[in-house]
Amino acid sequence: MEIKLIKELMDKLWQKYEYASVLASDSVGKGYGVSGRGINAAENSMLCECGYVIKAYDGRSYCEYSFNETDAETLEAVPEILDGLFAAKERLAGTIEGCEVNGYGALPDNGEGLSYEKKYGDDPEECSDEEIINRLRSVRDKVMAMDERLLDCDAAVSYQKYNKYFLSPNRELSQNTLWMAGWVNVMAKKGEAVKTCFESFSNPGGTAIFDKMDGIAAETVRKTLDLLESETITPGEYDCICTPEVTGMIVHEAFGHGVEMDMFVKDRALAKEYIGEYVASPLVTMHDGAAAADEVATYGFDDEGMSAKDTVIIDKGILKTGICDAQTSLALGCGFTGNGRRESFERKAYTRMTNTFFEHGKDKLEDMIASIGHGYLLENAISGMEDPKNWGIQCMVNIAREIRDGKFTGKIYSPVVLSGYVPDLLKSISMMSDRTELCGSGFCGKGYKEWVKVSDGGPYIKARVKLG
Amino acid sequence: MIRDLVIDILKAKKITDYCVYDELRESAELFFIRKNIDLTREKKARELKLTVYRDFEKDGRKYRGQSAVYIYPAYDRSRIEGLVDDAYDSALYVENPYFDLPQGNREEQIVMENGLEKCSLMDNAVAMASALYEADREEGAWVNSSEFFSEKSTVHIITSAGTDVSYVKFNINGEFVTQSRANGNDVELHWQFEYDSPAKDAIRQKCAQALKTVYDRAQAVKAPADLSAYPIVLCDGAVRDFFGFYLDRADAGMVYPGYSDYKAGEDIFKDAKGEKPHIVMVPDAPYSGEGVRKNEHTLLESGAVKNLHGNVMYSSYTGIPQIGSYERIRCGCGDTPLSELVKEPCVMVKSFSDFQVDEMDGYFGGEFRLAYLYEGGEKKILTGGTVSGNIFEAQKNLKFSAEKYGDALYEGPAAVRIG
Repeated sequence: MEIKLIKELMDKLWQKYEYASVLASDSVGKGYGVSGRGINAAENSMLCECGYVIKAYDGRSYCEYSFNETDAETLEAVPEILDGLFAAKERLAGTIEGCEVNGYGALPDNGEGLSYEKKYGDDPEECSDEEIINRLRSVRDKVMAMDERLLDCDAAVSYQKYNKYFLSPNRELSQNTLWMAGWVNVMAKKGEAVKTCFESFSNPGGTAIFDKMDGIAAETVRKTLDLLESETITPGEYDCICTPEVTGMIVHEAFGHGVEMDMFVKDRALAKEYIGEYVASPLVTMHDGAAAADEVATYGFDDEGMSAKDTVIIDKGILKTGICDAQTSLALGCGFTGNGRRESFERKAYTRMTNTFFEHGKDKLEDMIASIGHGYLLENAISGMEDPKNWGIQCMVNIAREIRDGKFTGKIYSPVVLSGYVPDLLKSISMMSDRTELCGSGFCGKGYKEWVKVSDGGPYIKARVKLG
Repeated sequence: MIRDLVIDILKAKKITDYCVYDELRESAELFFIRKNIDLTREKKARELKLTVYRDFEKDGRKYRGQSAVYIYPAYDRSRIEGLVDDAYDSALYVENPYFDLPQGNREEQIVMENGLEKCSLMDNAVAMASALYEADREEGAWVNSSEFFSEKSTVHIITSAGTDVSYVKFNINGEFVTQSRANGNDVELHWQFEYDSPAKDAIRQKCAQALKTVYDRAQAVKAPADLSAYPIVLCDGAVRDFFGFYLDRADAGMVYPGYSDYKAGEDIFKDAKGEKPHIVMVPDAPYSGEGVRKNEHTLLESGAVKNLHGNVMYSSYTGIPQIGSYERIRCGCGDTPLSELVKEPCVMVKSFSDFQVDEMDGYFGGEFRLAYLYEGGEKKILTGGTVSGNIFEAQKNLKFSAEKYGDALYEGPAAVRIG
């Protein structure tokens, strides 16, 4: 990155604007996969970037310019481009009936410096591609040898190493970090349909991920073959046990998006009206934060230069606060939580989750299962979508395993949609297992875009859930 | 120019097989809260994807490995040389069967003229925002917030097999949320748009319809837990996702490993009693990312597969012509007006939270935020229910609306009745 040139540019901008900052990002990320489709070893566009985003404040509002060429002509044009962006706001206010420019205060710039660097002994860049591909090939071969009914197994990993540098008039921050994630997706065919079951893994750091992948093959194969005999569930409300990954999906999708406080500013979140009230069972304590856990969304500062925090969102069932980006914090007059994140330097910062989870309880899983009269163990989370305005649940799991009189019947149902009202589900939580597990194998979108790396999780929970 | 530097390095290293995809992405972006402008942004970012190919033999078999790296203007020669070495090294372990790279030519740059190229990106964004808010005059419903991305993409593709092509493409996309507090219910609905022309009338109409729809959602009652007895009618974007299933299954990358059994000439609707779709694959750019010229191709004709599509490697493995990969489709409409389509009892879903279609096992469905239940001559407005089905079964009895719906990825029936 051309930090010297950027510093010279910022010196000019600080003469002109009340506040201006720059975030420089330089990230590399590569994916590896072995499946019936072939072998893959290539950098991934979602994980690679190298560029700059400038945020400027004219005493009333903010504008941004993203770029990654640093020739003299480009840099000389930046002040004029920013002027044009402020002028465009005035133009819109004059064009659209009822349109005004939203005003904000200046961002705090209190002179703290930070250098956040995590060192890992298992950097994938120090491991040969041959070794990584052979590890994946070994996982795949082991799976495919287990049952001739299997169609394919996709074993894959990816990693991202990122360096970020933030500069404002009084602060100079830098950070380097690394995460690695992987999955094993097993497929079996029944007629035209292909049934799939996956297990996923993640860790801050690198190739230690392979230790987690090695032990799961038999269980994933068994689940995939079970799916060949799966049935369609009878819609209704049932006592359910959710595995930690399904708990994580509920924490993240059903509740977490609803406490992203940029939604409070837009009047798009019901949670705003429930601060200080019971929204969950007293067993539930929920956290989010880049400093709340050591997982794939752990960092020192966010993409607006705000320090990472551990935010307690729900404390023993009571909603305490939400999370926010910097402009949201200014709009609401609340504290900064370090949740302003960008998909890349090319995109705007929004309020985004990081590592989001429920604290564990005291129950044993076997006692939880034994307590079910007729219900299901929900596992293998597939997808979820937020509904912060109305707290509707829209989550899908691959497997609902039937339990009758405290024992598994051997019947499974797939796929299964979870629905209902979020507080009803959270208030119905009556048991929580004694260990929290987090995983960050996927990316989180804001609506249908703006993908960022997150982790989520919790313990096994027992709750009353609408299934269909 | 970074592109020249990369090609110079490839020549110096005697790497003979490669594809360079150089893209300059520019945008002007507007973010509104209610009618107020909250943030303006611009972007100008260049990214170069270099794919290198490496041929080798192992145990008497011929392989063509490939690997890709991303290169940015801030990278100096030494860093780029290191990346090229890494990619060439990686390709040696990618034991994929040999395939030929398609031969290409040098062509003049194509500017995809659609009207957007006549104004600045910011002017286009302002014009579309103004058009959307012109429709924000309904009683009882309003635009909660909106985002506009006015984009220009300049792409140049050079391959070692002679391809040297480039194009310029404009589009405008974004999203908005409509809100209503009618009937004592505070509700919202989320909408996306993407146009490759200055579609001011289209976005004005979309917004007006979106305001009416969210007003309806505020009148909705909780849906019954089980709606499985009712035939489903899918609308608008969900219809595109439904037909997108066939596009996904016709991808050579799905056919090669056996996830899909599609082959040209196969009638995949042979048991169907209802209508059979006619679907055309439509290019969204003049060339694929590998420099293959893209044109319109028929995907399904009366329910039979006419063409598969895919990238160079999987097209070669499955023995199909090199036509590139497609995301955009056009589907023939039916003869039945929407009013006839809902005459018999059914649940017509206007807005899903997140409609899912699984191209592997055929499952489709999800939780809906707004649906209309038609029964006994009455129309009930519902929210918070779920519908689901399986395409392999559903396709036996489909009926397409005469009314048309279009967005950047789809043009075709506005509604499909299943059963």
